[in-house]
Amino acid sequence: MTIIGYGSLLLACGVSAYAALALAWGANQGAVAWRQSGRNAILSAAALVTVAVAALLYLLFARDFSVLYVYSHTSTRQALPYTLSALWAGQEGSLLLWLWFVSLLAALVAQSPRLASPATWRYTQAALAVLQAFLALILVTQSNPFASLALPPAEGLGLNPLLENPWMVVHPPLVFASYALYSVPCALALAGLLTGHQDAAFHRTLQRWNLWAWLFLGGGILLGSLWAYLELGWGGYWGWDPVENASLVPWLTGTAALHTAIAHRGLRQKWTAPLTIVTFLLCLFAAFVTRSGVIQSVHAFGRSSVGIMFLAFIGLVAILAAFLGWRSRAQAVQEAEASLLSRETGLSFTAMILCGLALVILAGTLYAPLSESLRGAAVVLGASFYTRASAPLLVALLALLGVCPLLRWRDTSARQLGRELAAPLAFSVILVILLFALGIREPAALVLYLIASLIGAVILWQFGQEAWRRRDEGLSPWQVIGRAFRARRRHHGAHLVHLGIALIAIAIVSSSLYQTEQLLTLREGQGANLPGYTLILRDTIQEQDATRQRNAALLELQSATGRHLAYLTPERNLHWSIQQWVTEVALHINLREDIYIILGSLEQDGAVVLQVLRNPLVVWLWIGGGLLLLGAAIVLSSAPPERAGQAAGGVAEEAP
Amino acid sequence: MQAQPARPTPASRRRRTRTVIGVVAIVAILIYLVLSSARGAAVYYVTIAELKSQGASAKAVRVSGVVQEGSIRWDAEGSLLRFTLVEGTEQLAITYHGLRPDMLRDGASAIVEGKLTAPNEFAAQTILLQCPSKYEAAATAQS
Repeated sequence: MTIIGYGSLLLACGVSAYAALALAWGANQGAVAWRQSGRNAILSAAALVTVAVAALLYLLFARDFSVLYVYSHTSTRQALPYTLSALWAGQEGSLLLWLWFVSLLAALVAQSPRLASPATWRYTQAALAVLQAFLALILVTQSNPFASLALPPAEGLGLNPLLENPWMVVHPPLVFASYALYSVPCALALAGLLTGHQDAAFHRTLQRWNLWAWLFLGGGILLGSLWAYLELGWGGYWGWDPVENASLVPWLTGTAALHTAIAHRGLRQKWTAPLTIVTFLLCLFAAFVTRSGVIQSVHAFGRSSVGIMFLAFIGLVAILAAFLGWRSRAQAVQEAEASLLSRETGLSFTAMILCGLALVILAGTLYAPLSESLRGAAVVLGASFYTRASAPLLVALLALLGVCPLLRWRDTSARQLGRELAAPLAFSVILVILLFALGIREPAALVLYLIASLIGAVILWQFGQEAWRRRDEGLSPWQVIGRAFRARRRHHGAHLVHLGIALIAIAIVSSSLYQTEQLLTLREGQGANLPGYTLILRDTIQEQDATRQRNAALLELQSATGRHLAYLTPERNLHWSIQQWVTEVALHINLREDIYIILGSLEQDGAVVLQVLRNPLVVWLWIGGGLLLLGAAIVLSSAPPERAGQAAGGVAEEAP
Repeated sequence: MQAQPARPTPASRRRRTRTVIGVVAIVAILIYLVLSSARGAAVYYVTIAELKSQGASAKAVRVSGVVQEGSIRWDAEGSLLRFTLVEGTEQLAITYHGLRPDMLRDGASAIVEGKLTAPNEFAAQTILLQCPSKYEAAATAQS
């Protein structure tokens, strides 16, 4: 089975390289036979990679411990879903998964009807074949998932218990799918720069693939932070860890690319292609950071030469893209004069601030390794760097997001803007005055609550007005809302994304500024008063089984009036396989705050040490994230605008 | 859009100047943001000897070493942890208020972040312990 797996990878590598050459030659010479042969090669490469994935899955499920990868990531005690997730638990497997996604997408592109000018579409396929050949080359030379052990052990090491979490089963495939998805618009953008044919169809296709990739990456990041919150047990969801940052940076530039593509009558799209290429390169960089361990991180898989190959590939693509961009600079892009107070300017600023944020976060991530290699001083940047450096940019971005829906194309008069802003702004100001009266005095919190509520108020106010115009006798309010939404699905889908951003901003600000922490030492039957709650220790549990020694505290959470709310069992277990303690936190979630309990230790004398965190409004982060994904899905589910003359391809293609 | 020979018009030249000024201003703001924030948030690694010669300071630093055999004292009632960190011949007494980190044991390699409060007393805010797992370079205990 290992021979079948490795052999098909080796073949896939050769076939992909051939496909790249055949397709590029065919596109250059207009030779139909070469193009056909290249397309066939892409399809067979996809089939070969699928065989390799199936072979590895077979070995994992058969628990064939003579294979190093299987030995390292499975054990006979493992539940079935985690055996499946072992496929992407290590470097070799996740690279294989990535290659598989890329090869399936390349096959899809090769089979789908032409979505750009003929030459551009052919070079797109060739570029994808190059990436496929590169990933296959890494797998067969540096990171072979089918490497075997001379003496097969009887039992495998198993998955790290920290990764045994449902969200961790879904998170890596989503991220790798998004990296794979970004390769398509990047290939298309490179092809567009090469041929110079960047027509309306080109931009429409680019935007659609960009949005798909953005949706997957956003979902992946969201699930990753949910996993960190539930599993890592330090009370937060984002640690500004290099690996987390590395996946956030392409998401930010990808968001910028989406916004540059929104244009009225096809103008101002010259930045979409370069930003798409940059985004994909940042995805490759994220893979490099995760896989090389160059930047110390809790997620790094250890040092390997894979990183060097990634860096070399990133460099080559960047040089190629810079050359193509330089060559095509002469192509004048028609630009309309737009006043400072216009949607064009708003969108440009949005894209610029997003890129600025990406740069700041990238600088922070690279600060420690650069300072160490340049100045020899070992240093770490605390999380406070990111809050300080990104706060002004985030405030500007959110403020822009609040006002942008009110700006018109070309020009907006200040008087008109003031008239439309008046009601939502009044609402937000009253809200903030109320919050101030309720005792919220932190200036940062007040500013961000003002802006975030303004975003929501502007969007809902606009939608309310639209729905009001559509009201009709005999229709229930829900039907009216449904009709108004469906009438401009893409527009309202995009606004749903922005509402999600507003909720996420509120959740992040509240939970980071108003988190409170208490250390408690309790004995059986003893209770502790938290503001608004009583926490009582009912029992302690200590038991052993085949996988771990389990230590748990059974706690009862009561309301201040003594009403039973929930039983909570924080745990602290010693897993035999890794000889390590793993903390399982207990959570009581409601819309106002999460009670997050970490079991510190069960002492010999029966005392239990607990850390109790109260994280306000955290649940709104997940709700906002869900709204964001839903909005993007709604935009994708509605047909792209294809009206003649409307050469957009934007998310919100409305004309006022 | 077909390639058209670009002929600079006064309007496009003006726009180009504006773009260049804008980009320069933005880059300057970004550099300022990064550098000023980095100065406040950078935490440097020092050796125990360096730390002691510097004396008490308001700025947090990181010190690494090995947990001395038999030096761990854990007071569950007050959630107070004490141990001695050894680096070569130098020793440093660490106090930490919080949960006892999972991987703290005699002989473990540890990195502590915090401040020197007395000549031989280091109040740690964070303890990082080197962990043998293949997934993690270090596990955190944060307070």
